Parts: sequence; structure tokens; C-alpha cells
Amino acid sequence: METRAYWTRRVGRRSALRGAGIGIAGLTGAALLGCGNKNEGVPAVSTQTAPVDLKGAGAKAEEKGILTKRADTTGQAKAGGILPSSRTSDVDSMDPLAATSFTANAISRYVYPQLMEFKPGIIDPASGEVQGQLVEKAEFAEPTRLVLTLRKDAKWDPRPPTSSRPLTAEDVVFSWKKFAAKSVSRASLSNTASPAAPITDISATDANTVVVKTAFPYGPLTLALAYTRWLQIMPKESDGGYDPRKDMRGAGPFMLSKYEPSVRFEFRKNPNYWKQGRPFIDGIDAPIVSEYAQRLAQFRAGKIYGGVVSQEDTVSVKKELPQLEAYQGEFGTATYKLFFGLRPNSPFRDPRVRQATSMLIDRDLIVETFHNTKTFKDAGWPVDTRWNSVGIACGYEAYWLDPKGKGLGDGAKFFQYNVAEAKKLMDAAGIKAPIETNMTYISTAQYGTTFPRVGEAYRGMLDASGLFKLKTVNADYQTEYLPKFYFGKGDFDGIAWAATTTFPHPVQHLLDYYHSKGSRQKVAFQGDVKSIEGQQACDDLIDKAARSLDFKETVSFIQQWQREQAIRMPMIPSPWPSGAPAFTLQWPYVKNYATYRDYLEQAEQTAVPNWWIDQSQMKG
Amino acid sequence: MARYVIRRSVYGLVTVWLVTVIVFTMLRVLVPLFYGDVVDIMVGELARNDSNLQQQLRDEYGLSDSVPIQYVKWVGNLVRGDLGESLYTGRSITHEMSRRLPVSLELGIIGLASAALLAIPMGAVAALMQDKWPDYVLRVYAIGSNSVPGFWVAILVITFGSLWFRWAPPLSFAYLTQDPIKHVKIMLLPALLIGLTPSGGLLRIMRTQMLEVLRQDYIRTARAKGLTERAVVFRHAMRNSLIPVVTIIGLSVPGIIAGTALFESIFVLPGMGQYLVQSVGRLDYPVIQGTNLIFAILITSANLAVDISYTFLDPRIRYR
Repeated sequence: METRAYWTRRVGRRSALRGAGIGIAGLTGAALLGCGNKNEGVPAVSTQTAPVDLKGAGAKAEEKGILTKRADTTGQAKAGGILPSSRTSDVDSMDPLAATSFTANAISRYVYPQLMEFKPGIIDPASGEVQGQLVEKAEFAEPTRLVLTLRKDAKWDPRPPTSSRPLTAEDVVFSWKKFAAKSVSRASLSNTASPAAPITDISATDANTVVVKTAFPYGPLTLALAYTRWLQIMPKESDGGYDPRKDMRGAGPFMLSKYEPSVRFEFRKNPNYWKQGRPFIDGIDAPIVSEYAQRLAQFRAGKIYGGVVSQEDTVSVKKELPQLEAYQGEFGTATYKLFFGLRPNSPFRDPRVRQATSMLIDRDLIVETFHNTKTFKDAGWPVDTRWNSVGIACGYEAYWLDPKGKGLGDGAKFFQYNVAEAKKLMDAAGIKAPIETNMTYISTAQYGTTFPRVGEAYRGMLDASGLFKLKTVNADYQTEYLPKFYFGKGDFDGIAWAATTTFPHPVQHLLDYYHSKGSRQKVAFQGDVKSIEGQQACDDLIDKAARSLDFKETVSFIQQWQREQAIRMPMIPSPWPSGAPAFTLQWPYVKNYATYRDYLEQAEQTAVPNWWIDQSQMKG
Repeated sequence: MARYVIRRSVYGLVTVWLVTVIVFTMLRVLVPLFYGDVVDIMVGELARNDSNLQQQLRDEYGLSDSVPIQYVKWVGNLVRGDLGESLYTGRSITHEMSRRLPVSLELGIIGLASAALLAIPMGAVAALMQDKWPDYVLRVYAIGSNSVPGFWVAILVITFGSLWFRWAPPLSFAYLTQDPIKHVKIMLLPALLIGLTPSGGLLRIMRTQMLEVLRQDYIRTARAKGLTERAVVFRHAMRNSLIPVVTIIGLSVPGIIAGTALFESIFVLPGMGQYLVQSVGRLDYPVIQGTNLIFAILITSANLAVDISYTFLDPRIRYR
């Protein structure tokens, strides 16, 4: 492909720059843009998802006919056909830059492009590396100045008002300004909205060149530009030429051809899409089917291709319809956590109490119960499980230190379920009687229906140890949970259970949740770095990791941070929901479905265009 | 009669106006006081700390004005026939209602009609055959259908349909005017299932009323006059038993329309129920106000229609 060839060429240029010793500190970080630097033996960018062991248990399952072997059938691809898909909910708005939730992004990914994209894995899982999407050439002129050259063959939707107009730097600047002014995520990127955010400005120097200026060197910058929840590129005509809340005019692989609120979306192939010969399919029909039983019925009847069956039903549906293809995904990148009230009289200011609390969690039992692993094991499916480390989900292969292994050092023991040792730690902390306090979480469905059940399991485990007498508090999400607990900066009593938001790079999660200045931090009482011992060192290491433009160095900082924080245990990482890869079932008429593997919700742009429909196997 | 209708219509208008004031006050004063306003819901976790953005959104949506001014602006648009736009989607509420209300009305009316068509004759048969096996069977049906939620039956039908026959209901909606056959195919099953639950209750009411009427003196008189049993039952007993049944059917119309949300969700239908439920969940003020206004009009109209229908069912009833 065009882009791939470009990156291969760029390696030589980067090497030449380094060889010339141009003396720009951190310019080796320019390597972070290359996806083709296998020559250097180092992954170009820093997020990596965990590979699944297909040569081990997975391979055996393939032999038994349970899992399907992934194969690249692009050579046999036939163009045409409408993919019967579904969506589980409607959108609040179609404007990804001004919507107040991410529902818009769920469909805008089909239509609106980005500057960068995550390189899809082909058969193997995606590595998390980025490559240009609208960008043809990217170069750090300085550590805080990224120059992007846009491709010239990108055109907007052929329908008015964009009418096949070429996409230019002006559209990028327009999108940035709109994002910085209106997006609910602007504080993650725009330095004007938050001093902790990196980008101070994006400007155009000519029709095809934009300059991204940052307030400080920022390692995950290109990943941030690839993340579909943040800066998608919209045409300047969206300001008055059409209403972007109700319609879309993009430059991505598909066009929104029909939308009936509460009923369905229809996408059709964008004839102006710059990748020649893609997408293979002519379009996607996606009715909005919020009821699971209906989705499952449609799937059983072959009217929806896949992405439907819950983990609980996977084994039974596969038995019922053996012709279905089954695939195993990757480990997750979410780290939900138990966090503590840190008022001055809180027992949780003592690290020994936090360590003891962590040792009362039976992580294997949580994974078995909430990932349904026993059912899969009993049916002969390959099951692999992991525990999240402090702040780093087990899906971040390059960064994650396995709490069951030796890499995490002394802190690893605080991940082990050991009530006797926990009692000793409590004794040492001077706590002789059970701690009577609150366990707070939401019982409503904002984080899904499993979330409160896991919270209840944690409460049960802590109570069963005899070291706690907890009272469950089901706080109202809007009026209590968010202001007093989630954003309370430790100003509450007891323990609380939290879901976390997704970021393209793990260091952004650390900045937001573990840094005393983070917007969602739960580790420093009211943001006072001195309130909890060791917080300053914690902040410093996160800052170093975030500002490093060198992949190896970033990995090293983050791993060092995990070793230190495993001992401090500022929050307790939950092994659910990332503890076991999920399985998916699909009808065999969609080819390449499991071959192209996306990273961070980018399948619509990087995987779906490579899918093709084998009409001979399609029902009805 | 005409004076009565005019008087009731005026009362109805006053009721509707009061509903708008109450809903407006609750939404824009009481809910924000104890829960948070629409902007709090919108920004959720994502922009919780971004107070500038929150203020920007409040200004954009006209929420920075005082509540009386907001109300006057809303009424001003209303008299021009404009219910406003959804704060989230920007879609015109009038337009959304014009495409959703017919779907819900059709679902509700077919559902109620099928319930009535089933329940009225069954209730009459049960009463006429009191304490015999058909009565027992029909009473079991009544209790069963009343205690089993219709949406659950819908899920069973869909699940077992797909499990046993690889069948699933159509998902591509078409309006009656666009494609009548496709429309009937997608609407028939949910409409019939919606009627299932109310049919049980209606059957029981019909049976009780018939039993009571059959014991009245005028029924004995009719029989003594030598009228056939058919004439006694159809002309005298059933007609008089229908008054409470009609009352309940009339009052059920708005509830059924609003209560179709689950069926709309299961069968992917663009109705009012889903629209209302979604808008309440996210405090979409103009949509909640608009739908409540429509429901208030429907309820007052249904009440009036029921009262007027009594004059046709019972000649003794006269309005002045």
C-alpha cells in the first residue's frame, strides 16, 4: 500500500538525520511515527496489545474445530454486497467534534477521517503502532513542533456541499479549532482547555501542510491524533453548509446514505475514498437493535453477520450452529479500580492498609466468575487469563508487568490472595478491629450491568476476611457518585469502585488517574501532592514517561513506576474487565473478518474496508 | 351537548396549560436543584471539570435566561406551531412527532382493538357459562395474560422462532403509505402482542359486568317479554356491560402509546415510547415538554371522547 511504502522510505531519512547528529533532543522520537522500522528492531510507537497464543491452546482448539484459523483471503476478494450489521444504540448527535458523548464517534468512524491511524494487525493482533491516514509525511521539526504533510488524493463526499472538494490543511485547522472550542474531550488535547494537555495550536503553512505545536514534548502525540474519539477531521462546510448533528459528509471509506432515528443507519461505499479498490463491500445496513434477544434471533437467522453473541451464550450458540466461525480476541486495556477515601483521619493513608486490602481480593475467582472462563474451559475452549498491574492493563503487552511473574518485584506479593498476611499488615498498621466503613459504587447501568455485581463481589471478599465491616452505598451517579467520589479527590470515607475511561496510550491513563494534577486523580487528597507519602515521586515518573519521545525509555519509566506503585498500592487494580480475551462468533460469509485486527475502536477504518462478502455462503 | 363539549374543551385547555407549567417548572427548576440540569448530564464524566464548556453549552441552549423567560420563549414558539429542537440531535420535535406518533397510535390502537375483540366476546361467554369449564378456561387465560408481560412473550416468540425455525422478524421499517405489505408484516406481531396483557383485564371486567347486568330486573323483564336469548344478551346485557369497558379502553390509549417503548425497542419501530424514554433519560427539555404536551392533549381528548361515548351506549345519560 502507498502508506506502507512511504514509511519504509522514511526509515532511511530518519536514520540519516540521526547519523548527521542534528542535535535536537529527543528527535529519535521521530521514530515514533514510523511503522516500518522493523529494521531498527524496536516498535515504532508505544502501545501494544497482547498477542493471543494461537500456537498453544488456541491451536489445539482449532484442531478440534472450535476456533477458526485466521486467514488472509484478500487475494480471492470479490467486490460487492451489502453487509448486514447492527448497532445496539442510536446516536445523540452525528457531530464527533461537538457531541457530548462518544455515540457520535461510533458511526462517524465510518465516514470522517483522521490525521493518523493505528496500523491494523494482519492475522496477528494490532501492535498499537500508528501510521499516516490523511498524513503522508510526518516530522518533528523540534520536540514540540510536529510538521504533517497531507496526502493530496483525499477528497470529500461527492454530494453537496462538499462535492468532491479536495481535503486541505484548512479543514484540519477548522476541525482543530472546533475540537478545542466544543469537544467534551478537549481537555485531553487542548492546552488552552487544560494546562496538562499538550497541543497549543494546529496551523496551516500551505494547502497540504499543518504544524502541530505542543506546550511540552509529548510522547503519545501521534497516538492522540489517531484516536477516533478525539480529533476527527470534518470539512469546513460542516459550519453552515450542512447540519453536522444530523448528517455527515466525510472522506473515509463510507458515506452515510440513510439514517432513520431509532431505526437504522445505512452506509454506502465512498467513491472518493483514496485507498484504491477499498472497501470491497458496497455498503453496510445497520438497524438499531437494542434488545439482545432480537439481535441474537437475527444472528441465528443469519440476518446479522456477527458481533452479537454474549460470552455467556457463546458456547451454546456454537454448539447449536457449528458452521459459525469462532475467534478469540486480545486482552483488554481497561483498568477499573478500587480507590480510597483519603481524608486526614483515613486508615487508607497508611500503605500497609492499602496493601492488605489488595491481598483480600481473590483475583482468579473474579476472573473465573465474571469472564465465564469455567464454561469455556469445560467446553474445551482455550482460556488464558491475566491480572492487571497497577495502572497498566494486561493488554498493554510492552508495558505491563505480570503480577504473577518476577518483573513487578516486591510489590507482586500484594496481588496474591493471602488473608493471613493481610491480617499481619493490618496489625502492623495498628488496626486491631475490623474497619467499619462504606463501600460505594453505582448500581445503575452507566458502566454496564456487570459493574455493580463485581463491586458487590469485592465488598463480599473484604467482609469475608473479617478485616472489614462494610456498608454498601449505592450512590446516585449524577448527584453523588461523580462529584463526591469519582471526582472527589479522596474527600470521602471508605472505599469506592470505579470504571475508567479509555486512552490511546497507557501513560495518558497514568496522567489522568495517578498524577496529583490529573483530572480524574484519586490518589492525592484534594490534589495536595504532599498529602500521601510517595506521591511526588509517583508524579515525577509519570511526567518523565509522558515527555519522553523514546519508546524504550517510556517503557522503562512506566515499568519502574509499576514496581514502585505496586508497593504503594495507591489504588487497587481490578482484574475484571480485562482478565481474559473474549470470544466472538460470526457467519462464514464475511471474509477477512478476523484477519484485520484493529486497535482502539478503529475497525471501521482499518479493518472493515478489507472485509468482503462471499455471496455463495450468504443466506437469503 | 354542544355546550357541554365546549365547556369540557375549555377545561381541557386549562388542564393542558397547567401541565406545561408543571412540567416546565419541574424540569428546569426542581430537577436541576436536586439532580442537575441537562448540561450536567451531557458532559457527564468527560467534561465534568470544564466549567467554561458547560457555560458555553448553557448559553447556546438558552438555559442562562431566567426560567420565566425560557417559558415565554417556549410558548411563543409553540403558538407558531414550533415545538423546538432536541438539544442533542438538533432534530425538529414537530417533525419527529409527525413520524413517530402515527406508529405509536397504530400500535396502540391495533393492540387495544385486538384486546377488545378478544376480551369482549370471551368475557361475555365466561359470564354466560359461569362456573362451567369454558368459564374456568377463560378465567385462567385472563389471569395468565394479565400476569405475563407482553414484552416477555414477545422475547419468547422471537427466541424460539429463531431457535426452532431460524426465523426472525423483519427489521426494516416501512410506513403504510410507502409499502403496505411490508408495513403489515412488521407491525402485526408487536401490535397483537401489545393487546395480550390488556385483554386479560378487559375479559375479567367484561365478565363481572355481564354477571351483574344479567341479574338486573330489566334483563328478567326482557326475558319475560319473550325476547330471544340472543336479543337479551346482545341488545340489552352486552351493551350495558360495555360502559366500564369502554372507559378503561379510552383511558388506556395514552398509556398504551407511551408504554409501547419496550415493543418499539424489541421490534425496532420508530415510535413515541422510545423517543420519550430516551429524552427523559438525558433530560432533553424540549422533547420532554413536547411529548408531555402531546400526551396531555391525548389524555384530555380521550377522556372527553369516553364521556361522549356513554350517551351512545346508555340512552339514560344526557349531558347539558
